[in-house]
Formats: sequence, C-alpha cells, structure tokens
Amino acid sequence: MKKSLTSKLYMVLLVLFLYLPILTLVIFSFNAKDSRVAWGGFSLRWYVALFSDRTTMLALFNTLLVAIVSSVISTALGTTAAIGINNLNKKTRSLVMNITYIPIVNPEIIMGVSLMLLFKVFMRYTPLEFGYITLVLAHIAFCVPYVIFQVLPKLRQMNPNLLEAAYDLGCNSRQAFFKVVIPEILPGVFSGFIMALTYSLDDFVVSYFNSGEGVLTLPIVINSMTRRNMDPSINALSTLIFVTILIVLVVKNFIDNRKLRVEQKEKEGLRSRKKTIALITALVLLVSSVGVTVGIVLNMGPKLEMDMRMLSNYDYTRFANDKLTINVANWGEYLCIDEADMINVNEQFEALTGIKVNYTTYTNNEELYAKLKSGGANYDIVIPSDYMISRFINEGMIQKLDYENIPNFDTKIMDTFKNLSYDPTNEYTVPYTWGMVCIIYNKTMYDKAPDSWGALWDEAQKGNILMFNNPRDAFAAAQCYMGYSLNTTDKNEIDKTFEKLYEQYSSDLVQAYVMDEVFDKMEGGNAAVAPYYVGDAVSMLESNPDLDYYIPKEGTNRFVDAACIPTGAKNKEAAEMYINFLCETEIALANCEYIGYSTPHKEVFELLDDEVKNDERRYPSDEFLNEKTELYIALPEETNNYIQSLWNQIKFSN
Amino acid sequence: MKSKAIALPYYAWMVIFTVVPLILVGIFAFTDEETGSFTVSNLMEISKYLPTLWRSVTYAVITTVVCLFLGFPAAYIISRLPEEKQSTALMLLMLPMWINFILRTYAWMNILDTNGFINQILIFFGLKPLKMLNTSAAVILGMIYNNLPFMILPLYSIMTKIDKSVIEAAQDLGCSDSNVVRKVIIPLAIPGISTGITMVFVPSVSTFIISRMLSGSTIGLIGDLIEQEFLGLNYDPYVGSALSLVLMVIVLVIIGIFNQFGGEDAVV
Repeated sequence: MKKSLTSKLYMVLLVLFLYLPILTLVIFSFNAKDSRVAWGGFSLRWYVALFSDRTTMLALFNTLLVAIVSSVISTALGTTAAIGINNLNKKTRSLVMNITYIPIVNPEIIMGVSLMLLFKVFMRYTPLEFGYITLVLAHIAFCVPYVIFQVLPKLRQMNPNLLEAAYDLGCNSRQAFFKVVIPEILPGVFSGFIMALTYSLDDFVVSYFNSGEGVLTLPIVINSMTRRNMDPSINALSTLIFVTILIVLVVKNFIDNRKLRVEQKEKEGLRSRKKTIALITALVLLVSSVGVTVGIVLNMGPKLEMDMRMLSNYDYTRFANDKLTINVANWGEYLCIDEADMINVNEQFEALTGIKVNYTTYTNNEELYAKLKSGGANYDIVIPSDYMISRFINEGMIQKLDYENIPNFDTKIMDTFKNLSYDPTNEYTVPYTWGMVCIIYNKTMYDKAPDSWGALWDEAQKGNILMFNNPRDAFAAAQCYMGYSLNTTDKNEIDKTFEKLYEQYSSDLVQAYVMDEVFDKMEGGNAAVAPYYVGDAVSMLESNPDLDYYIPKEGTNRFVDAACIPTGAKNKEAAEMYINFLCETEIALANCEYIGYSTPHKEVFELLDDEVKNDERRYPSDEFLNEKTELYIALPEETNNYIQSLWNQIKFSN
Repeated sequence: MKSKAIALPYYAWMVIFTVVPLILVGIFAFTDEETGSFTVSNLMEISKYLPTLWRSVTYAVITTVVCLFLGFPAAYIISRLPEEKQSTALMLLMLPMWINFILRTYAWMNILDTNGFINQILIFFGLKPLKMLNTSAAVILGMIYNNLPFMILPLYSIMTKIDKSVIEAAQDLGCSDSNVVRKVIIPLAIPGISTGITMVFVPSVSTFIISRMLSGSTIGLIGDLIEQEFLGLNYDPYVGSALSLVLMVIVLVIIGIFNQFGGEDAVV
C-alpha cells in the first residue's frame, strides 16, 4: 500500500531527526580522542573517567538528593492538597486550580527569576542563603502541581459510598482515610511522585537561578561544560542512562503487549508509559550513584602529595579544630584541582589546615559583580581582574587585608606587581596571575600571518571571526585598533568605537560572541581568528598545532587577576591563610603550570623553562609593557553604563 | 473525610511560592532602583529592546507552526497503528527527551558547526561547506527539535479518543481520506492542537540556552535579556522584572486565545 509506505517513510525520517544528535553523543562517548567531532579510535576511557570525576559525581549526588527530598515533600503536600481541594465548592476550587496551574504553564525562566526575587526578599530578614534549601523549595514549587493533577482525578473517580460504608462499619475518620482513601488514590500519588522526581532530576532553568554556591546539579554542570571543555565522560553518562532506559522499555513493552493480547488492557497508555520511564530513570540514577560511590572508592589510589618541607614558616594549623569552611570563587579552570598528575590545591589545603574549601567558579568579572552585589553570594575569597577590583574598592565591596597573615606577599611577589593602579597603596589585593590579550588564528586559513587587530575586521575572514562576549574586552579590542586609550571616557571616542563594533556585527564579520566557548571553536577548527588571553592561547595551541597567536602590533591590554576578600566574609583570617597558601612556591608553581598564565611570583618565575621565560608574548620586556600595554582602570559609573547600553544596542536592538 | 483543613498547608504554600513571587515581579517592574518609588521607566527602558521582543515572538510562532505541521501527521499515524505498535512508536519518539536538553542542543552544535559533521560529509563529497551554525535557522531548528514531542503528545492523546466509528461513518457517507482528516479529525482534535500550541510556544518564546548555543550569542532573545539582567553582565532586577512581566503578558495572551478552544486535560 502506497499510503502506508509514505507514513512509514515519514516516521523513519522523524525518528532519524530526533535521534541524530543522540547518536553523535553515543558514538563519541567511545572516542579515544578528547574531541566531539574528530574520531580517534574506539576506547572506554570516558567511562572510566566518569566514575572518578569528582565534580560530575558530586553533581549527580546533589541532583539525586534534591530530587528525592523535593519529590517526597511535594507528594505529601500535593496529596493533602488534592484531598482538601476535592472537598471545596466549585467556585473556590476553580480559583485554587487556576493558581495551581500557574507553575505548569508559566515559562520556566519566570518561575526561576520570581522565586529568586522571593528568596532575596527573605534574605533581607532571615539568614537564608542560596543553597540546598532554596533549591529544594524551588523544586517543590514547580513539582507540587504535577502531584495535585495526578491525585485529583483519582479522588473524583472514587465511589463516595465507599467512604460511607467505612464509617457505617465503625471506622473513625483517620482509619477511613488510611484504609479506604489512600489505597484508592495510591496509583495517582505514585505517578505524581514519579513525575515530580522526573521534573526535578531534569530541571535546569529554575535551578540555575536558585542554586547558589557549591550546590551544583548535573544540568548546571553540563551547562558550564558547554561553555568550556565538554568532558566526553558526560557523553558516557548519558549513554549509560539512555541504554538502560531503552533496554527496560523494550522489555516492558514486550511484556505489556503480551498482556494486551490477553486482556485488552484499559487504555491508560500515555500516563503509565511516562510513569514507567520515570521510574526507570530513577532506578538508573540510583544504580549509577552506587556505581559512582564504588568508582570513587576504587579510584582512591595514591594521590600526589605536596612536599611539606617546601612550605614557608607559617602556622597553618591554628584553625584545625574549628571546623571552618571557606567559600572560594574563582574563574573556571583557574586552580589546579582536577588534573590527574598534579596536586589538588584545595585538598592539600584542607588536609593541611582542617579548613574545608567550598569552591565555585564564575565566567566573567561582571557575573561575579552581580553575584556579590545581589547579596546572594557569601564568598570569603574572590579573584577578580584589575578594573573590577578598583570598582569593588570604590563601592566598598572588598575589605582591607591584614598582611601580617599573608607574609608570603612580602617575600614572594615581584615588586613590579605591587602598588598597581587598581590598588595604588596595595591594601586590598594579592596578585595571582597576569597576562596580555592576544589574537589566536588558524594558520591553515591564512596565506600570510596577521599581526594587527585589523584581523578582527578582515573582510576575507567574514563569518569566521570570533569576538569577545563582554563589553569591556570587546570595546578594548576596537580601542586598541583605533589607537584610543582603553580607559577613555571621551564620549566621541566611545561612539567611534561603538561604530567600529557595530560595523563588525552588522556586516556579518562575526561568527559568534564567545568567552570560554572560544576553546571549542578554535581547537575544533571552526573559526579562523579570535582575541583571547595569552595563557589560554597557549593551551589551545597544545590541542591544535594548526593554531598560533600573536600580540597585535598596535599594543594591547595587560591584566592582573588578584585575590581579595569581600566585605562581610565570614572567615577573614582563614581566607587570608588560603591566600598565603596560594603564594606557597609549590602551590603557585602547580597553578602556574596548570593555568598557563604568567606569574607574579618570583620563585616560580625562576623555576620556569628558559623557553617560556624568554617568550616575549608571555614575559615581555618592561619596556614593551610600559609602551605597548595598558591596564584597565575602573571607569566612572556613567561611562560604564554608557558602554553597557551601547553594547546592549548591538546585541538586542537589531 | 470532609475536612477542608487538610489542604491548609498547601494554600499557604501556594500563596507564598506561587502568588507572592509573581506579585514581587510586578512590584519590582514598577519600582525605581534609586528611590524605591513608583516608576514606569523600567518599562520604558524595554522599548529599546523591541526588536528582540519581536524576534522572540516571531521565532516562537515559526517554531509552533512547524511543530504543528510536523507533529500532526506523526500523531495521526501513531494513533492509527495497532495498539501494541502505538506504544512502541510513542516510546521511540519520547526516548530522546530523557537526555538533558542542554546536551542534545550541544550535540546539534557539533553537527552544524563550520567543521561539524554535516560539513565534513559535504567536504568529503567535494561540496562546498555551508554556514549553518550561528544563524537564525539554527536557533529555530533547536527550538523545533526540543519542543516537537510536546506537540505530538497532546495531539496523539486526543486522537486516540476519537471514536473509530465516527471516522467509519464519515467514510461510509463518502468522505475521501483527506476530507476525513479535514472535516472529522481536525475539528475533533482542536483541544489537543491548542494544548500543543501552548506547550510549544511557551518554552520557545522564553528560551535562553538554545539561542545562546546555536547562535553563538549573535541572536539575542527575550530570555537572554532576562538572564542577563538577573545573573549576567548588566545586573538590574528592576528592568529584568519589567521584561519578565512583558513576557508573562505575551504568554498569557497566547494561552488566553488558545484556551478558548482547549480543555483542561492539557496537563500531560
């Protein structure tokens, strides 16, 4: 029959469309290479890596914990709610149902931000902080309605005579409830629970706005991975979940169909299927979390330990019995903590001092600013860049350090990195890394090596140019090219810079605006040229030998990232201890090697290879630094807002 | 068990966690950041972003229409299959949803990128590579991909409820197949269509991850703006709330329109 052939073809195409991306995920979970597009042979390395990846495992644990707690509470709350609602008169009931309907139909992002506002208002009056509690509350908020909508129909279907019979037979209301009502509605309660569990497990958007520090769930971790290195072990995890669900479903389907033939089962199709799928996922996740624990235990082999003899003379153990925790917020991949053959800085610090480190990352200075300003974050240590530091100082957001507690600052930091413009009397900061902005390009796409900022406006590379996805760096790139100061407050110059950036956008020169996404794009050969930081360029070159980088001849931005303590930090002295620890030579060396940025640490610099020390792009002469580079300083608020509004005009007004 | 009191904890919950947050959005939207007094300047601020609002709505409408046209035949075909095959087919369509949507969207990036799978295949056959990622088409594709099952489900749900004898009656009375679809199935499936439209339109118009990933941040949508105001580069929960309010109004209008036709059995 021709018609059924067309339908078949249509369904096959549809299934192909739906499965194409998943197929690539599954295939590349077996890739021997650390790549999402280039095949390097078959390997199970990502499956092994999966069970030893601390971040992923912790996130999996958090995801399960939050999902189980919030779905249990949602089920209790939703079931009692449904019973009460069922007894309401029609008018009140429709009001309550309409409100209950809101979390289901409201866009997730509105759910997320409105709850975030609610928690912030709470925080003004209570010691509540973003974390497990807010996450669980938010999850309950969107889960309860699903439970209610599952239980209510069962209550309506219930024969009211049943309850009366129970009373007639001498049940009190409590007995009647547990012996008659609950068994009747149990299937609804159960499917409500499973739906709550499912939605909670998979939620990203609401969690993203309400998770706070240190409580990362799996979808949040996956999201940050898409911004930088997507770890193929996530592919492995998805494949495991996917294959298990597939197997169980096929088996279930087989059994169902046999039953169907026998008894022509009642058509509950969709709901029961969703129920089973959810149950299965829950099972899979539970099983895998057991696997995870086993994996972690198995992986607790000998760890690389630091050499205690190299430590400076400092009392690191004075808080050993105080059970302190410090919250450290740092750039992504900016601390040596997850590299196989290197020490784990945070674990070393914890072992040495008995202070627990709660470590989180941010992707740019402005995000850190928003987090501190909104009061949602409670960091003890942050590592922002120069211009953001002076803004923090101006707005009273960071506090003066007690350098008595950070003796390494005096002895180990180069003098040229003290008293810099962002902190002229050096009372707030201890420099961590520094570097310059460079331009990375793919040699295979150029006949002649570029040497100027003009490469970002090169018509020949139209559609292959990446650009900074933040206003300060984007404006600076254009300002360097046009010969303006990076700190200009001249409206005319800023307007001209804007025009240059607008031209770049509107004539389709820009392929994408990126921050850490630049790694994937450049390493994968998807773009020709991009501005970024030298230290990162070095690591891109290691993954893709086709790349090279240069400091543009017009000069460039130099930046310094330094450790500071926010106003209101709970454990200032412990935080200062941590900062001092970061300046220990062995730790600073590990960080320097891991990050690849230039170091302000005297002893670490001496320990570097000559090749690195003499590389003008990484350690330029003082003369070059003075003549060709410029540090950012904090701009007046007016200028900042103006630049921000121009930037928004490029991104959102076209 | 006639007690209504048992639901009191939920009523309290509902007020605190559903009603109050939305009221807060409303209050913030009309509050001046500096003085704390009433203002409409936050809403005026949004006028700058009209192109973004318009784009969000346009993309969501395109996505919804395409999903409807792709989903309707699929739901119809499945609903006409023998019962045991129905469950298999439905399972096949739903299974991809069990992989987190961020990962699936990321997979599309690798498929569409300059040096991605499709272009590698094109180059292998000596063809010219295409620019697919970081275009509006890519963003809409991502929306369709992620939301198509939400269209198919309610449509299928309603189509299985259509009595077979009604269709047979139409056929007996001389309806052609296309007329059966046009004059019988579609009118009876209208509640499912309106549910499907809502379920696809709402997530599409409010997304921020799909546009960020598949347009390389070159195409901003209203979701991106809201995210930026609350967590990103220009922190301003007041303007962010005003934007959220506008988004809510857009969504309410759409739901309002389509609820005229729809039943409440929307919730799947």
